[in-house]
Order: sequence, then C-alpha cells, then structure tokens
Amino acid sequence: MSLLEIKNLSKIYQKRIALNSITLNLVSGKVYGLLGPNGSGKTTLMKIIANLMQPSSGEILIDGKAPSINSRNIVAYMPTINYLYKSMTLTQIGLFFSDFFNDFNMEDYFKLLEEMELPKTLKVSALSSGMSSKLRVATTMSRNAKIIMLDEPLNGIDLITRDCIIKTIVDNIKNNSTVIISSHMVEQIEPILDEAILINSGHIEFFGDVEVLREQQGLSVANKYREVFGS
Amino acid sequence: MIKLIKYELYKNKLFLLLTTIITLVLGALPLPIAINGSESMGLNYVIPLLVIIFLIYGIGIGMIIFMILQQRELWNNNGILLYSLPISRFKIFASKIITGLFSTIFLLSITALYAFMYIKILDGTDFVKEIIAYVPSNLAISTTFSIMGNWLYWVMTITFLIVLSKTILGHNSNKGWIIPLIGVFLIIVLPVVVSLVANHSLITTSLQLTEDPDVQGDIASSIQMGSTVNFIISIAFNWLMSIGMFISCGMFIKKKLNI
Repeated sequence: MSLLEIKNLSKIYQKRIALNSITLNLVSGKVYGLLGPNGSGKTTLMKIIANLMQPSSGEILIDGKAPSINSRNIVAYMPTINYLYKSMTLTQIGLFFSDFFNDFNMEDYFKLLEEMELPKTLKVSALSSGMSSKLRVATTMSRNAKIIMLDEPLNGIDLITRDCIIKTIVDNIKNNSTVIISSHMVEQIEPILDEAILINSGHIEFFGDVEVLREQQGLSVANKYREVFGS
Repeated sequence: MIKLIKYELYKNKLFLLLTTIITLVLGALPLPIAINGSESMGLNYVIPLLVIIFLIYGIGIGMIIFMILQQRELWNNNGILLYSLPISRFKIFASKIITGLFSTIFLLSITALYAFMYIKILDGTDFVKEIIAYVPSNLAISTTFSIMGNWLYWVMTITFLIVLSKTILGHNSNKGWIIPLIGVFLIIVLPVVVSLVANHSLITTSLQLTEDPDVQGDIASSIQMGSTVNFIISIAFNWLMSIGMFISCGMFIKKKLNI
C-alpha cells in the first residue's frame, strides 16, 4: 500500500506553474531521490507534503489521509535554510523538538550530535554552515517519522561533511520510514537511492527503480539525469 | 499552546530586558528637570507634558518592538519551524497574541511604577498641584495623547492584521497579498515623524511660554496644526487600511476558492 499518494497535483504561484499535474505513489521503507535543476518544483512538492503549503489543485494522501496538523506528526521535513532558533543551544533545540514531536528520540539526537562532533552546549548562532547542516539532519533523523524529507542536505558543504551527512542518513534510516532526498548532487546521493524521481519545470520526467534503470537501460541515475536535463 | 508560549517568552527575554531598559531610561530623563527646574525655570507647564510624552514614548517603543517581535519569525525562516509543528495555526496565532499581551502588560506595569514614583517624589509640591490643575484643561496634552494614541493604535492594528493574515495563509504562501500590508506598515513611519515634529513644535513653543498673549496664540496655532495633520493622517490610514484589508481578504478568498 502506498504511504504517499499524489494525484494530479498542481501548484501555481501567481502566473508561474511550479508543479504541473504530478502523480506519484511512494511506498514505505524506500529511499527516493527527488532530483532536478533549480526551480524544478522539488521544494514546492516537499512543502506541500509537509503541509506548509496548499496545492492549487489535485489530491495528496499521506497514509490515506489529507495533509493536516495530524500528518505533521508523521512527516519530518528538513528545509534548505537554517530554520532553528539561533538563541538556543543544541541541547535546547533537542528539548524543543521533544516538546512538540512525540516521535523525537532525545537519545538518538545526542548520539547523532556526538557522531557529528557537534557540542551540545554550543548555540545555533555559533555554528558554521556545515555544522548547521549537520544539526538540521540530526534533528530530522532523530524523529521516528514515517516520511522523512531532506531538502538539499548536501548544499554548500565540504566533501568530508557531505560524507558524514550521507553516512548519518544511511545509518539512521528507520525500518519502514520513507525517505525523500532532494539534491543537485546526483552522483553523491546515487548510492543510497532505491528510486529516482527526475523533475523539471513541475513535470515528472522520470520515476523508477534505480536498479532496474541500471539493468534494463544500462544507465546510472547520473547518466539518466544528463540524458533528461542535458542539452 | 502553553509550550509555545513558553518558547515565545524564552525567545523574547533579551528584547524584554532591552525594552524595559529603554522604558526606564526614557521615563527617568525628565525627572531631574521636574525636580530641579519646575519652579525656578518657569517650566511648570512643560514638565508634565515632557513626563507624559517620555513615558508614552517608552511604552510605545516597547509595544512596537514587542508586537514586531511577536511576528518576526513569521516573516523569516523560522516560520517553517513553527508551521511544521503539529499545532493549529489558530494556536500559533493565539500564543503570539498572548505573549504580546503579556509583554505589553509587563511594560505597562513598569510605567505605572514610574508614574507612582514620580507622584511620590513630587508629592505635595506646587508642581503636582499644577499638574492636577493643568492636565484637564490643557489642549496640548490631549493633542499629544491623540497623536501618540493614533499611531500606537495603527501600529498595533497593522501588526495584528499581519500576524493574523500570515497565520491564516501560512508560511511561504503566495506573497502577493503581503505587499499591501507591508506598504501600510511602512507608511507608519510617516505619522511617527509627523508626531515627533508636532510634539517638538509643542514643546519648543511651550518652553517660551509667557504671559504674552501672542505666544499663547502661537501655541494654540501649533496645537491646531498638529491636530489637523493628525486628523488627515488618520483618514489616510483608514483608507489605506481598508484597501489593505480588502486586498488581503480578496487574496484569501481567492486562495481558498482556488479561483
């Protein structure tokens, strides 16, 4: 059974079409790569799933229900920007999340902070952009959410931090959680993907199993990406 | 919601402290003048005005800072955090208003304490007797109250509307609707400047207060001008607010109906 069903979903900003009649079915326990160039509609789609934004038309069902306050309990969304309160320490951030999300695991959170070498007593305002990315990943992955969405988790960070983030994501994917990762860095995230969704100008250009793509078409996701988006 | 209020207050603790200091400093400024100069310098009529103006400015600045702070993260990235929480938008809105009210009451209490202190210090002096005799009949004070009250009212109303609209529409929704509200919000600078000019005019003229009927006539003209400007701005604001609300409501209905 699909955990996330999207039917003919569209989103229009004033006169610009961000999503154009998208239909997708995502199941539990898989890692999906939402890939596409800037402005292709990746973030918009994630925000609609996270109930941060309303679609212009179409239907979306999360675990059989429309997005609502309740669906936020099972959807963990990590945006691209630093959205955490800057005046808080990392411990306070954990307490904030555990106050509001029943599925937030404080032990996991502290473990992740340790693995990522992030001091608990540090304030969010004192973090570098790489450290800030790690923290956002840690807060999101510490939830036992059914759907975990990471929007551009590898943006603007060095190779070592990138590897650390990818390792953290892989190590912390919970059983039956559906993970959706958006990124431009196709080659970096390809090894952890089960399925790839290539999106361009609000259209789904390709949606399929990564293994099948390799076996049947002899293409890696990166090659498929080049084929779809290349000039 | 209680948890959210807790965090809202936590976030604002530094600003609460800052605004308290501003209020205390502004409130204290006229005190030495009031004590030392009320009788010897012929400033009897000016002191109560100064005291009241500074106190009102203290409260005004505090209220504005708080009302803006209450909605600031709705504009910036932290809005995502708030709207990702499994809490209804109404509760987010209510928690902000409650926190804003709490902060305002806190500031008002400090100001009331100051007023009490002034009365105690100056109790029994001719100065206080003059205030009592002076306040009810003085047009300058009523004008000052009117000007200050008006812009405070508008700042609060507009901030309230922004918080309400943003809460209803959610973070990062179509931003076109927000432009008229931002426009109205920015125009608030104008009456602030006008109020300052008007008050300055009142004060400087009052400082020259003598028995000279010509000077008294000047004061009356100055007050009259301040009142007229204030009246015109109020009307202009009414229009702007109406237009802003009309567009915001229109956008909201359009969004809800998907038309």
